[in-house]
Amino acid sequence: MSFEQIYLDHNSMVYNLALSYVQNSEDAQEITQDVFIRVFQSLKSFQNQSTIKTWMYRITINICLDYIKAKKRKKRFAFISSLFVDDSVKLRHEVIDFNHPGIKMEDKEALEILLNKINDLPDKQKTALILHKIEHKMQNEISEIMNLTPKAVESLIQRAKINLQKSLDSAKDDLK
Amino acid sequence: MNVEDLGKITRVEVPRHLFNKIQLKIEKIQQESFSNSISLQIKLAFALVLIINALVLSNSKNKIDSTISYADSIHLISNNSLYQ
Repeated sequence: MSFEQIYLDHNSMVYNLALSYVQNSEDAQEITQDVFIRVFQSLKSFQNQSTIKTWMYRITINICLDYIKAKKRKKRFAFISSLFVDDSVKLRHEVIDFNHPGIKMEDKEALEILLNKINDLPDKQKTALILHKIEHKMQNEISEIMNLTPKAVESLIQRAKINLQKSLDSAKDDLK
Repeated sequence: MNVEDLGKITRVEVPRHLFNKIQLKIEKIQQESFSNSISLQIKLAFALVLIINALVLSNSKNKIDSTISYADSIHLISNNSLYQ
């Protein structure tokens, strides 16, 4: 299968999955580029042990999680450096983080809070929840992508839902 | 607000220019790796020339030493100071 064909078949999945993780079209584009460059570089070593779709999902998830970690590190550095520089420089460091093109204006506020709370979940819970609730994947598909048993996936989703609800409840209490 | 609200997120189209960007990045990476491999080959060639030179020099010194010792063994003067 040619690289161009792989891109045509999977670009939408990669871009939308990246958007679910970073909720920002610029970051999602960056991740999509990184994913396809990684695919191009390791296409020869792909050994058909899993389907190409599962393989693409795994690469995308790994790159998204790495990207988020790197961004958090950058933010921490920007915060520390902002303590030593004047405000005009500080403004240039600030970025608009929430810019999801797949969310309607009227849902934006609620979904921003919800997705921010999902971002605080542990990586595995976050991935299981995104694949289940946003990508609409079945548990057996998620278990194949995450290389876990269906039982483990079910438990991850349950824990993610409980933790998310707790987090939302405490946010509501804080508002009162 | 609950987890089911995530269903309100709709899928979006991928920006059209993205594939061109990816192709450009791949070309750049390939060019970089090509120039890296050439510079590595040049470095290796230089290192090889240096090693060969060092070996040739050390061998020629050994040869001179053995010539001198042979000349000494048959009581020949092994230098050009004939009038000392």
